[in-house]
Amino acid sequence: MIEFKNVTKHFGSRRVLDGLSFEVPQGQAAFLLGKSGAGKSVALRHIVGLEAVESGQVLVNGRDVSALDDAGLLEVRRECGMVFQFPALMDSLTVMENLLLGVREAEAPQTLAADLLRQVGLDAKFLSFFPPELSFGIQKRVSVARALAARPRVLLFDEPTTGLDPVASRAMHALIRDLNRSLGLTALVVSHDIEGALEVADQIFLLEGGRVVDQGSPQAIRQSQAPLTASFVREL
Amino acid sequence: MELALGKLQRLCERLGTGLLSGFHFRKNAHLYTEQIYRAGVQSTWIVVFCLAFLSVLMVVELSIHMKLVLRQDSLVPAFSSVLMLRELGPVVACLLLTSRVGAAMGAEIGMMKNTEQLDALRVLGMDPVEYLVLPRWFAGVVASVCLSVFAVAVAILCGAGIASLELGISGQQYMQSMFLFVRGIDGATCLVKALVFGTIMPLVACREGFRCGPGSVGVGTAATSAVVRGAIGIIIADFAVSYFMQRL
Repeated sequence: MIEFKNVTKHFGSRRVLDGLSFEVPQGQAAFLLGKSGAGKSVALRHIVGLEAVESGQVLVNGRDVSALDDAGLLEVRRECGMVFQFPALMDSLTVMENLLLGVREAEAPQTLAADLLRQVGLDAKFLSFFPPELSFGIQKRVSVARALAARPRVLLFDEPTTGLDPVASRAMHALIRDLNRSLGLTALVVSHDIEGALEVADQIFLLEGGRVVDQGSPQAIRQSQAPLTASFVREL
Repeated sequence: MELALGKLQRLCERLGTGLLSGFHFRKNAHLYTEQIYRAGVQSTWIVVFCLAFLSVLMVVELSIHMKLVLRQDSLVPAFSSVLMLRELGPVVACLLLTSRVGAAMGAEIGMMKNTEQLDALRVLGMDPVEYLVLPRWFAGVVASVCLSVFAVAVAILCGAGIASLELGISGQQYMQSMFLFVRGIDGATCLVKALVFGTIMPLVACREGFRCGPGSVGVGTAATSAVVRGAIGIIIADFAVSYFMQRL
């Protein structure tokens, strides 16, 4: 479960998050939608402690991230897999080495890595490849597999379809839905893509100026009259 | 000042802990060998080439000026060897390493920051200092010490060669003259300088990478700063080490 309680964040004099509050129950898939600069990615980075909480609370499975020391933060990070906007794979490591980066001990590393690739719909032949040898779409899938390596309870996606063609984008959304349903993971996805959100999400939150201006199920969002929501839905 | 010392202390603690951790070495041995190959082996040719030519140039120039002032050049082997050992060898070798390896380290880590690879490491529960800085620091020290010693040896041999060809000083005479003046402290100075410069170069380069601004301009600036600040650090450290070693 992820919970934001009145979280505020400034970068210099600019207020990026302005009393942000929302809640994603365990096992649900939620989308944070909004225009560029609305504070979506910053909110996501708070969950794994990549941004310090200025005021308010960020709770991950009941633990307040802002009150944790380094060891506590490490535990939260082990519970959360994060997929970044860029695939963020280490260029000098093979796919297999990338997949096992965060795994301290594995009895059968090759089998584990192959299983991870299979979970994201990739063949084990990619294990020996280096990231620059792969297409952007495959790199993104590998980064999802890497996020799954530590068996997280929460999966965070920062604009997972950026740079992907429409077919690959649909496949990525299907993958998010499958992982959420089959593994029972809580998924929080930052995106601009209303179509994908309506297809995959249990809950959608619309952010503007660092706060939630509208929220609801895909059904409710389709019928919402809130100006920002309406402008997104019109794009369909 | 207190803040800077605190940061330096924390960095030393993290480097020390990482270096002493058996798990770290076992899991990341490939990172160390890769960095040593990149920083050391791939820089050998340029460092040896430059120092050899510098040595040849120094022997010829010293001879001209000694003949003008002292009417003889028998002390050229001694002066050029001491200068090569105490100053030019480690300083030039490490300045070349800074421009070749330091720039690459700054740009690489800067690019990793801009493409969220550093954040990915943190989320995976890994310490970027342990994973990125430690192997580069270790490789920087190994490369600068080994290259300084090797390049100085080659440079002295080249100096002896040109002295034999141009000044009529035989190889045996060159070595005798050299060993009359070169003392153990000169060799120690060379090693200490290489050790200190080899520490400064990667740490400054990594710091600039971690502070990298966004976009291609940020990466370019990080690479430039890694070279400029690394070179300034080496020059200042050169003075400090020379001052300290002369008093021993």
